[in-house]
Amino acid sequence: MLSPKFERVKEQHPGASQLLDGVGAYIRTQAEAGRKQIIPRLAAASLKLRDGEAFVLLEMLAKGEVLRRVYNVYCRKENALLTTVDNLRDLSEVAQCDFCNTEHDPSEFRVEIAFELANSDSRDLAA
Amino acid sequence: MSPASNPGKKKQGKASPSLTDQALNQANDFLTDADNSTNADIRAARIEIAKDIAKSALDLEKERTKHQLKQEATPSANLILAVVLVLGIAVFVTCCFALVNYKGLIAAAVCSLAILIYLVIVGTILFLKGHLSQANFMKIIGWLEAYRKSLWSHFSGDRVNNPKAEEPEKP
Repeated sequence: MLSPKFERVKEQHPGASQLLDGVGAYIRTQAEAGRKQIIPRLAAASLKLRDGEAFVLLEMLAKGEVLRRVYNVYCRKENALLTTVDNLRDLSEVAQCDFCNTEHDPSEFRVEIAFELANSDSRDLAA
Repeated sequence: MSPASNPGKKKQGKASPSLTDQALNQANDFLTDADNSTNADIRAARIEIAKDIAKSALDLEKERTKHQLKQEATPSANLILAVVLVLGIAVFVTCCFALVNYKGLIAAAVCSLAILIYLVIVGTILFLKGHLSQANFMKIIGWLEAYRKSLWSHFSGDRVNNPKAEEPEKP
């Protein structure tokens, strides 16, 4: 039996129900492998979808409170993950790079949209 | 997956967009790509998501503008420091003038009054900037008021008892 939140999202978007099941299974696999974050581009590649389609499906789940959108900030020079913030306002506060030990211009950072489970476990995707 | 569906890898322009702009551009790229989806639900949801993202961006921009206007409206720390320094110099000059041109109590009174007024002005500035509590600000006002009263009682008392006393001695 699927969790109520996930079911609700599928009811709201009946035409994308099958795709949502695919995304749900993908998220479950990732969670079981210990990967907390879902990157739209990687999900799209795995599910053989367009990047935009994967993003919209993940956004649907975020709106249904199954997932939440986060922003990963990388230092371009070191190509390392600096921090993860969960709203646009906090993004503008990021300036210090702990790897280079200096403040960077925004062009020296790279932002990536990702999604995390709204609850720390994957119970909202329980099959 | 078609090679065209890689909207996230755009060339950066010469002007460096902020991190927030980067995130919004990425989201917009995804939504533009989603418009090519064959699934009607995804295309419909895409419109709602675009509206939400646009609204968040607008709210953030309003907040940023409001904050910027507030920052511009308050005088900078450098300006306040300059005003305080200039007033301090004026008080110093006043004291020197009083000590040179007047002797005894008059000179002391002028100096003390100038210093007290200076403290009140600095206290007012600090109070308005939030660095001085109301209680301490009222203390400073109280000093000025007490000093004014003592000056008044001293001089009015002197005139009653001895009208010719303490005339300013001119060099």
